[in-house]
Amino acid sequence: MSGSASPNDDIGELEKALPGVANDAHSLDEIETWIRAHRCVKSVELAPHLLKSNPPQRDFVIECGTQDGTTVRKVLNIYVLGNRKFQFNSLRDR
Amino acid sequence: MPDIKKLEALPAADLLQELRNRHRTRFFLWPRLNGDLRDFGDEAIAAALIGSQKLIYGIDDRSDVYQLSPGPDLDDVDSAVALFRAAGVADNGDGTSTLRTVNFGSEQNLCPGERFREQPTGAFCSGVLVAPDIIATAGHCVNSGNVTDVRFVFGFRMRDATTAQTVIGNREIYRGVALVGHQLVGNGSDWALVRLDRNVTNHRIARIRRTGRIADGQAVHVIGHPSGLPTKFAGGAVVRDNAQGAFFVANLDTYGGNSGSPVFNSDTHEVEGLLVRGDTDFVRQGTCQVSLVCPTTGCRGEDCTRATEFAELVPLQPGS
Repeated sequence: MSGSASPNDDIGELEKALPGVANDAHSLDEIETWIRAHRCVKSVELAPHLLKSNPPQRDFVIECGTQDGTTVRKVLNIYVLGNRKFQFNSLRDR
Repeated sequence: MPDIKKLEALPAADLLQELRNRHRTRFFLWPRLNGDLRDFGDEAIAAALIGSQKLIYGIDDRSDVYQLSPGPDLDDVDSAVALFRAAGVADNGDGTSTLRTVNFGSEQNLCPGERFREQPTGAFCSGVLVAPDIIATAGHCVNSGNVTDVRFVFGFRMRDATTAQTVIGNREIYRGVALVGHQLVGNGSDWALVRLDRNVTNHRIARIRRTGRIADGQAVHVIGHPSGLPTKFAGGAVVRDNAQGAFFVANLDTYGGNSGSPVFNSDTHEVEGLLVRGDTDFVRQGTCQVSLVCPTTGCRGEDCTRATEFAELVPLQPGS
């Protein structure tokens, strides 16, 4: 899976790699595991609901620590295409 | 040979949970599986689940527009729109456009017997006319980055049991030009108001609730494009959780593509909210997929952003 070679603690790198990771993943658990492997990540939570567009969307809420001690909160939104395929949609501030 | 009666005796919620847990074990997580169901395959559990759901819920409440009788329900349909990407609408050069659609059954790998599987699908969200040039929809459907790429289409519906209206007069197709307002909060308010390129003069403007809140247990119905299908009307639902400020929860039969669908009060025919979030749509049964209709207490319900969240940005209409 792209971007999974070495975890890093840089939120910028995480942001850069996320689209490729989401597009290549075969399950939501796979995406969650990849995010969680980054040292900056304090928590990852898959929102329990489905956003009911066609295709539907799912949100991951990510908390990531930065070098200045603050915590950045982001929402990763992906399309659930079916047949174990996903597509990155957006990464926005929470 | 496993005893099928054991399956039939279990609550639908337990069967549903078992299928979900099995799905998760195929990847990384290892939730606890139900030992009583060890001897049963996914297909048998899914079949028992569907059977038990039908006992609990009766039939799927969705119906096509041509099946509705003249009256207020059909009037409500007149204000609903389908959202297509610009690339999904091909101008024929003769005053009409053809909607780009695919076969629903093939697209979703649906099992034989699934409703509407032979119909076309193409809409990515739903919406409702709330002012002459304003459409209300979900905030996760339209944003400042894509608003001008969205086409709002009236009349994408089944004409009869086998014929879908996919060639649409251009006068029934509108382009988004700007956001009037927008909000997208993860587990909260989710709405967008879109300014159209021109006024709509030949469709009903839906009345929206402007103050107060819907009653607990109120009957509601939804009109939109489940799974991107031609317009569907779904009633037989009630408000089952009214505690949240920004949204209420109802047991509506909705699918991906219903986002932005108007949720009407079945007594007053006012728009009470917009359908935005809910539970999983389909579950695998053997090599194909079936609808997962939830038992009353087994699922989270469908979230509907309250119309009062955006009402102040919608101009009052004459007579409303």
